[in-house]
Amino acid sequence: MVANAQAILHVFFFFLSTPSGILFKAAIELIIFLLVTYMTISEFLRERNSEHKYLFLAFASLVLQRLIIVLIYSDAVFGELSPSDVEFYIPIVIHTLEAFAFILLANAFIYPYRTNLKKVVTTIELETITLFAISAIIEVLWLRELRYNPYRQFDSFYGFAVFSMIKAVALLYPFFKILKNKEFIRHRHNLMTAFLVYAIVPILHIVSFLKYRTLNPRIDVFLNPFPFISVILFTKVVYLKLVDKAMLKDKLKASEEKYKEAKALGEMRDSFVSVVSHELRTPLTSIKLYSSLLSTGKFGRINNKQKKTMDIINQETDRLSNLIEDILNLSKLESHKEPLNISYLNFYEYSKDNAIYQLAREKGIKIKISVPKGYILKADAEKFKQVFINLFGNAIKFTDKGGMINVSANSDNENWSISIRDTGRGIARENIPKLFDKFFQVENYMTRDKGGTGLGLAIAKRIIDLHHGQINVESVIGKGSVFTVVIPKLRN
Amino acid sequence: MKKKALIIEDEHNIANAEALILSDKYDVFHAYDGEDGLKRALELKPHLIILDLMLPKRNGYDICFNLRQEKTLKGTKIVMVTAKNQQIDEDKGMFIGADDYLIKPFSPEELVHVVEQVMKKD
Repeated sequence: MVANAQAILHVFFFFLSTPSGILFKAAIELIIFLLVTYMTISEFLRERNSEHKYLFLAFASLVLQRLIIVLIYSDAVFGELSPSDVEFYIPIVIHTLEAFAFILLANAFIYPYRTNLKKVVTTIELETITLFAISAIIEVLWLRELRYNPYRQFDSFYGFAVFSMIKAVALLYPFFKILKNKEFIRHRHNLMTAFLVYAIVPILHIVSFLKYRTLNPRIDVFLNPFPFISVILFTKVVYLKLVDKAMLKDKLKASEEKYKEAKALGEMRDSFVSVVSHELRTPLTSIKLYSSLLSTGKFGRINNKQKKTMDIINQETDRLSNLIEDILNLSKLESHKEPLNISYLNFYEYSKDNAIYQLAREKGIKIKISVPKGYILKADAEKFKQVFINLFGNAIKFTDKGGMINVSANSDNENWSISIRDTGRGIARENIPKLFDKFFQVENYMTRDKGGTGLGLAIAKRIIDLHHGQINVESVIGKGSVFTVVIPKLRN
Repeated sequence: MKKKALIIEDEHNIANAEALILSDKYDVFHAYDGEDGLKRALELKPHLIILDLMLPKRNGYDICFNLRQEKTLKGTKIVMVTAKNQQIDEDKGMFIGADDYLIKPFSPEELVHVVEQVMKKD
């Protein structure tokens, strides 16, 4: 079975080296190259970039070369010419065209990481001129040779070896270039294989020439499939490149649209939130002013019941205005509109005495501050103060009379950390991850009557996130909670 | 004789409440838009101006800036009232010559306190 297959393969390879086989192979390659040329030329006409120009020129010259082969061999197969006559015609043109195509291919494919277009163009021009000059010299020598020896085959002429060498170099140069350049990720292996497989042909031609002074028929048969494989690989790479490009374009377009949408939405939300909070504040100001005036007796004496009612209205008005403030703050933090204003904050001085302590004292909560003297941290001072106020305010809210709030500060080489420990009622373990969610209030814990907006911790977390830090929470039900703010020193 | 205070505020309710709060110590005058405010300020030469930021016709910054160019109004104190709590607004307000600012919503006590502070200044 295997022997059978081998025999068939051998016969097929042999067929490929006969004039009919060469015609067959060249015709198929011609069709493929025509297709690729069409693909690249239409892409070039749309994009007009140099990469596609050189690609289509390369494939066009391969088309031309194969076309000449097809014409010659169809005449040889179907016409009067004997196959050996073919060698007298245009071997040099065929070789030159092929070498020219390789030069263009090499430059087109390694072009993407050559940023200097002018240099690329100069390189291609220089290489092409050199090639044509060598071709012309070989042509002259070959014609002279034919005068003395009209039956000489081009395969046995040293011009053949020179062309093979040029082709080998033109194919191996991009191979090593791509091998060396790891950045060339896309279709790297396909391209390298294509160049290398094609390079086998001229290399073995040189070997054959050196050993037999001509192209050994066995080697010729052996070489038949290589250009074919390579052609298919090149086609694949070009196809993939074009597909990639089309996909990339689609993706780019889609992401652009998404970006625009998100931006518009963000802007709308920003202006919406700020307009709404502005519009809310105006009537709120009237409510606050008049209810205060009412309760202070500006419009006549009020009785106790009325006074209590007015106090509730005043408190709720304050809560509403705090909520508007918090929503606006949070929206600003989330839109990243405000950059951090990093400066030094003397936390020792700041925590030594603070207006918010008064609230704790009024409630009968003891305060203990253990901040080392001269404790200074680097942060957006105003925002960090807000974090402190929010955390301390929470501690007051959830600590009963006779409790204690302890503020401590530490630092090591990497972080500043500030802890606020209370002897409040604590937070259930399952609720800790939800604490920083907007409007999250634990049942029986952060109940509405605590008067919070439900945004204090969310704001604190956003601010600390902006500092690349974190807020750690430890808590035991009935014993109390510790909120620790950690800010890295290096990132700020 | 009582000192003169001018309230430039387009919201009548707020303007009236402010007037009520200040009327103990001041003769209070109103203007309900920017242009009128500027005109009244130049006529009256008040000791105190409560100036809203968002006004029809001419905004508070514009008025404040123009008032500060007037030599005859050198002693006038200006308290800017804004519903936009943004650092930039505060900075800008102070920069163009406001003596202090209030952020809406504020309580009568806050208004009284800020006015007292401002009037104490010289």
